[in-house]
Amino acid sequence: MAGSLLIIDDSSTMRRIIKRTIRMSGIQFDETFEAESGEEGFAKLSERAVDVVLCDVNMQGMRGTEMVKKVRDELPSCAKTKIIMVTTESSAAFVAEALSSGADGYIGKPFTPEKFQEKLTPLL
Amino acid sequence: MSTTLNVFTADVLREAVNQVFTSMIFMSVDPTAPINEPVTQQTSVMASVSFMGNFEGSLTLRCSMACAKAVTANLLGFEEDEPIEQSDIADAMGEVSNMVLGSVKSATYDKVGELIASAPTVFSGDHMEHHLRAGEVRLSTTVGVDDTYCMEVHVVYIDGK
Ligand SMILES: [Mg+2]
Repeated sequence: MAGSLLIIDDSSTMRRIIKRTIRMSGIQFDETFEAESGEEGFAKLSERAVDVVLCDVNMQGMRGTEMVKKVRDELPSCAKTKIIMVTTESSAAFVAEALSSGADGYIGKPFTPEKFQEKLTPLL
Repeated sequence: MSTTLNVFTADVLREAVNQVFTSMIFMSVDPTAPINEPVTQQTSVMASVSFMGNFEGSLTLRCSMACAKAVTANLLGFEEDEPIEQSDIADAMGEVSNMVLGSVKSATYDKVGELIASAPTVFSGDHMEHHLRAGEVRLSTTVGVDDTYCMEVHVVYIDGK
């Protein structure tokens, strides 16, 4: 499978866990990039659009949902980029907030390789 | 408004640990078979995350260093011979406590509403004990992990808050 991926999470551990889980799900990206904040994620997307973004919600500084809104408002180059929030937040209010910010979906923590396969395969 | 007691039950805690361990750590959890591992009599690791909202308190996981290393290797996908640093253990156990609280939050959302979690704090040491402050109440339970380790789960909260 082809495509490029950007993982945005303030925890390097969680980025590692996400990469391991994607590996186990059998999905392969040609390129995987990482960012440790919403600001850094936005900067990387300004330079270069990717196919899929996996984005944490609770981060120091710019929250994940804020970053998604900013990408949708200011980066037409990322119009086709699919953005999935990865979060322990699971309330209906949060899901509504995430989708209205412009995210294409979300994956709740804890997650399984099967969950990544189910959510990412249709996007690729 | 529900009281704290009927929201945070041992069942909720054990199920939260079970969800995290089976989906992300690939270790089996048995809530019914307590493992006789003397956690407090050896070097143990404590990972704690506090929460605020309609209820305020903290959730703490405690296990032996051996258990914490196994959890870290599985969660982070370490190779057999890859060295595990203290910082890896702290990161992994911190994330595990965070995710267990995440599962507890989902399970209790209908009763208590949104709980805001802090960043996790992780300690390790010998003969560590967790002392309650005045007004604090503790709910504790244990689960067996991979038929080998004992994982303690504690929720401490201010009674009536
Ligand atoms: Mg985070």
